[in-house]
Order: sequence, then C-alpha cells, then structure tokens
Amino acid sequence: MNVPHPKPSPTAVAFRRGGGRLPRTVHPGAWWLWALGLATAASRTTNPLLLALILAVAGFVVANRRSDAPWALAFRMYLFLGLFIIVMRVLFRIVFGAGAASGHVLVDLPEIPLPEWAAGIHLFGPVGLEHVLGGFYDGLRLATMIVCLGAANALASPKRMLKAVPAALYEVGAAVVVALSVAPQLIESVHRVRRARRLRGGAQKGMRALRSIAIPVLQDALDRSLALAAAMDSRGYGRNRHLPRTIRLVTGVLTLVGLIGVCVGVYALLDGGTPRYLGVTMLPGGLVVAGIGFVLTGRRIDRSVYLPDRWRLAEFAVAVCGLGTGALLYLTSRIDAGNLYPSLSPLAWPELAPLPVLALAVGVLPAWLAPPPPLTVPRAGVMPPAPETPVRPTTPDRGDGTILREKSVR
Amino acid sequence: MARLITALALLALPAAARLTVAAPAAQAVDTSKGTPGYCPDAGGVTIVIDFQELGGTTIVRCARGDQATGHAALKNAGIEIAGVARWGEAFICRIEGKPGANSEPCIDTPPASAYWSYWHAPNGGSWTYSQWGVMNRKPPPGSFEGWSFAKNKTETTNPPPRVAPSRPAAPATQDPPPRTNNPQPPAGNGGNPGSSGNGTTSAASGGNSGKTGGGSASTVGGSNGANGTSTSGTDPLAPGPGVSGNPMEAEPPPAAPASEVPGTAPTESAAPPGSAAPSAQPSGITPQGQTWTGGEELATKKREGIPTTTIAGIALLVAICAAAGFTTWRRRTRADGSG
Repeated sequence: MNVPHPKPSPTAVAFRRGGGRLPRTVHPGAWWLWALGLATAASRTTNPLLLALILAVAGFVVANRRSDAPWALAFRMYLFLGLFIIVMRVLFRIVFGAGAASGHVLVDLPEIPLPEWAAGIHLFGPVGLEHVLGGFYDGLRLATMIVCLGAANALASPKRMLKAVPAALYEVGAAVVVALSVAPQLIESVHRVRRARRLRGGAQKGMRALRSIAIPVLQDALDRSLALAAAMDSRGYGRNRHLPRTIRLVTGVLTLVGLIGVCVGVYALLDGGTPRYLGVTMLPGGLVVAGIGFVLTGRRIDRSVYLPDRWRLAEFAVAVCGLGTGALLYLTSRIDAGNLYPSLSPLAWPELAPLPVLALAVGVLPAWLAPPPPLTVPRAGVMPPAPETPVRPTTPDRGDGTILREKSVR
Repeated sequence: MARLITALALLALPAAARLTVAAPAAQAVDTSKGTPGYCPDAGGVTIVIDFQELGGTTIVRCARGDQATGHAALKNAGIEIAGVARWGEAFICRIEGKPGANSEPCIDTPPASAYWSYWHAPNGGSWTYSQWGVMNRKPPPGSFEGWSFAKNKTETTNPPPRVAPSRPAAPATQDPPPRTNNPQPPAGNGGNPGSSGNGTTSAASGGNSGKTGGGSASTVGGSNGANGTSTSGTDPLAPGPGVSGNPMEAEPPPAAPASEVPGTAPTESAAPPGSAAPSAQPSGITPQGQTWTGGEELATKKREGIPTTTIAGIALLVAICAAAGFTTWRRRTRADGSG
C-alpha cells in the first residue's frame, strides 16, 4: 500500500503496525468478554504480584489497541479510581486497627478508648504490617477488577454495544448501555469543559474552579442524556404502540415470569437448603418461558443496523483469550491454590507459579491478535481524512457522531 | 500509567524487604510462644484446636498470662492463624494451615457449612458456643478456648472440641527419668511414668511443666509413687498404655530447671542446650479416645531471602509496564508529530 502523502497518514501507520491488517473496530462484545475474563481471574487471587501483572496486562493491551475516541481516555481515570480504592482500604485498616499487636508492628499509634457498648471496634492502635498488607491485597484485588472493566470501557465503544443487543432486550439494553456510558461521558464532559475554560483563560482555583467545572459538567451530561433519549425516540427505539395491547401484555408477562423463574432456579441451585427439584425445574422452565417471550417480542421489532460489527476471527480470538485467562486461574484455584492466596501469618513473599503465568500470557495476546484501531486525526482540520477512505472497506469509527460534535465545539 | 503501576508494585516491596519471612509451611506452631499441653495452673488460657473432619491430631497449647482477647490467646499460644482478606484476623478462617487453600480461599467470610467454630469453657466446665467474636471476648485466666471445625453442621449439631476442658489437677513435677532423646515406646523408659501404666497425659503435662519450669513443685527425683499420686488426681485421663501408641512421646530434658520462677513465659529456648533433639512432647488420649499433642512437631521452617519466583514475577511486571509505557509514549509523540 503506497500512500501518496509525504507524511504517512495515521491509518497507514496503523496498517503497518498492525502487521498488514486493516485497522477496524473490534466488536465491543469481544472486548467485554476479554475484560470480564481478566476480572474473573483477578477475583480468584489475592496475590499482589499476580494482580499487578493482570493490571499491567490490561494496561498494555489498552495502550496498544485503544482508539482515539474520547471514551478511550477513560482508562487513566479508572487507574486513579483503583489507586483511591487501595488507599482507602489501607487507611481504614489503620483507623479501625487490629486492636491487638501481632506480627511486625510498623507504627505504634495510641489507641483511642471507646465506651463499652462499642465493643469490638478499635480506633487506631498498633499498626501491624500483616494487617496493612491484608488491606492492600484486598484493595488491590477490587481495584484490579475495576480497572479491567475500565479497560473494556476504553477499548469498546459503549454506544456500539447497543447495536449488538438482541432485539427483544432492546429497552433493557438501552438502559444498560446508557448506564455503562455514564462514566466515559462524564470524563469526556470534564475534558471539554476544562478545555473551554483554558481557552477562555479561566484561572480560578479551589472551590470556585470546582463550581465552574462541576455545574457545566453536570449540565452537559444531562443535556447529552436528553439528546440521546430524544435521538433514540425519534428513531423508534422502544416504541411499541403499533402492537396490539394483548400481544404486548402477553410478551411482557412471559418475559417477566421467565426471568423470575430463572432467578428462583439459580437461587435454589446455589443454596443448599432448598429442595433440589425446585432448582432443577425452575431454571430450565424459566429459561424456556423467557425465551418464548424474547422470540415473540423480537419478531415484532423490525430493526436494521447500519454497518454492523461482524463477529470475525479476531473477535473470537480476543474473547477466547480473556475467557481463557479466567478459566486458567479458576483451574489453578482448584488444583494448586497455594500461591494464589499468599499467607499473611506467617508473612510470606508472594510467589508466581507457571500456570498463572501461562494465564497472563494468554491474556496479553489480544495486543497482537486484535486488529489495530482506526485512528482519527489528532488535530481537527490539519489533515483531512479523505484520502484514506478508498483504502478502507468501512469508514472509520466515528460511531455516534461524538467526534463530529467535538469538532463543532472547538 | 505504566509509571503508576510500577510505583504501585514497588510500594509494597521495601516495606517487606527487611523481614525474615517464613516459608509458607502447611502447618506451623510458633514454638517461641506459649507452651505445649494444658496450662499447669490458672495463670494462663488453654487453647484446644480440634480439626474434626479436616484430619490431624488435636492440638492443646497454653497461652501463659492474662489474655486480652481470644485472638491474643491464640497468638500467644503460638497457634498459626489466617484471617479472611476482607476482615483481617477478626474472622479466623484457617488454623494451622487448615482448611487448605484449595478448599477455602479465605477471601470472604467462610460459608456456614465449613468454618471454625469458637468455643469457650471454664476449667472443669463444659464447652459453650461463643456468642462473641474472637476480638471481643476476653477469656478469663485459667479458662479454656476451643476451636472446632464445623463441616456441614447446623446450629444444634455444631461439634464442640472433643477434649474435655479441665486441667490435669496438681501438675506435680514428675521424676526425671532416664533420658532417651529419641522417641520410643515407653517400654524402654524404665522410670517413665508412662510405662507405669498410669495416666499418660499427666506424665506428659508433668514433663511439660518440668521442662518449662512452670511447675511449682521443686522436687526432682520424685519416684513413681509421686507420679502415681499425680496421675490419680487427674481423673479425665485415660488409664492404660496410651502413650505407647503415640510416637510423639519423648522424655523431658535432663536438667529441667524445676525451680524456675513460674509465670515467666517459658520457651523452648529455656530448655537446656543438651536436649536439642526431639523436644518433649506432651500428648495424651482423652477418655473419649481423642489423641492430642502440643503441636510442637509442626515447628516452622524459616527461610531467608526473596524466592526466585518473586523476583522473576517482579521482572516480568516491570517488563510489561515498560512496554506499555513505551507504547503510550510512542503514540503520544506520533500524535504530536502529526498534529
């Protein structure tokens, strides 16, 4: 591929970097499956070494395969959120101290005596290394799981997810997608408002700055939610007036009853106290009823998708890698759980076993298996993306028009 | 971002770098704390660990002195415990490495179908299921603290520890019998009270008190007769050749300082240097046929330094972070260059 430009276009660069593959967006479902697999892996261990490695793997894949879209910048925010979680966990461990000094005492804080009715609660007191490390391990585990979901948010366009939702689940799916995209949208709003303030030369600090950022951000987010809702409504999302009332009633009842049946069945299966036949009958029964409801609803909704995300080999590979990581760590926790949960008393170094390392190696593969993301032009107006279009089978993922709006704001 | 992760990873290291870290042994009793066997007097809290279905000999150890909480008593008796990741050691999840990590990850509170139940009892009383957490209960001096693993039990069928909560009465110092450092059946121990067919546990606890100096009686060289009195006083103990079945039985060290001040927490190191080999193990069999030991055979093996796998893991982590940081940097410079 020869690009006649003196300076290679971002697409050409991505093409070369991607090993000769054309840049394209990966199906969001694939990234979500990958991230959920990593999060599952993180939930199976408290080994800080392993958790940090999972974090690094997620960060590496994001660094290699994220697009330039605004939501892709959200990953850093998730990292800060994770750091905040860890700090809070450790602080709480110190404030509500162990009460009893045991092990390696780092700092011997004086304990604040509490009245008799608050028995069992200790304020401060000696800070043991085991105690603090316990909080750190636990916080790191939660932070890693959240950062994994942040990686999915950074890699997959939240709005393209809506395209992949089955027709019957459309109303639910729209709500879920709107909820999932709240964090990226807020972050995007913060970026926009801060840039606008910089351009206006706003130099307030402290509380005033907070007010001048928070209110526009909230207003912006609300405006955009309303705009999204209006846009969806004008395109006929969730509109079912044209259906007869009885059909709507029947499908609704079927779906609801089926889902309740699934919930009861799962509860009965997991809880040892309930009779076994309850779970065995309710779960498949609920699935069948809900399935009938889905099919009936889905047949009534006609929906066409513009430029659908296809589930191709790369998507399959990405999803399998993530799920494989989760499965390998689950397997490890079944057969050799020794160093998944490093001992705190006596204090032991966290060690690494071959099987978790293999799981991590599988998890990092999407950094090469996934096709490179389509990169937009970094500065609007400097380089028009027009010449690249013939090279690509599809137009780049401008998706939902966010970027266009971004340009108009500038 | 990569810098952040690296900083996170490195934060945890220096804190732990200077520590001597024990190898994660499956089971380990900290022999530097507490004494094996029952407490000889009311000046300590006796800890009874009954593994029930988990397998393993019941452990009886003593935390000398006043104990602030049940947790402190466990710790001061040298019992190795692990809490859950979420609550720390306020919720005890694992005792002496059991249940293993394969069946219980100890992240959240263990399920009601498999957990360590907490019992307490006054001396000579009966076991009571504790209504208090391990951090909230102060065991009275001389009382018993019991830990019993409840597997698939309900509120009513929870098993109390199978060792009766009563101290062997009058822990008389036994005679120092002829020394044999290696464990052997009591048939070979001429003057050993165990071979006299009397209470084996008293022999054991007597040996314990003799070794640790906790016993108040300063008469060394008490004959079998003296021993006999001590055993007759300890009625909960099984008569018969109980010890012979227990290979843990060994002699107390030769120069047991019987006149040592009671109350000072005696340790293994207090034993004279001559008796390096298998230490005296108090052990016995309850009338219910339950064997118990002091758990000293589970002593921790210390291992120095950082394991190679840890170093390899850190190197791997740094490599991935550096790669991610490099990618981010390259993307940023390219974006700036083209813009």
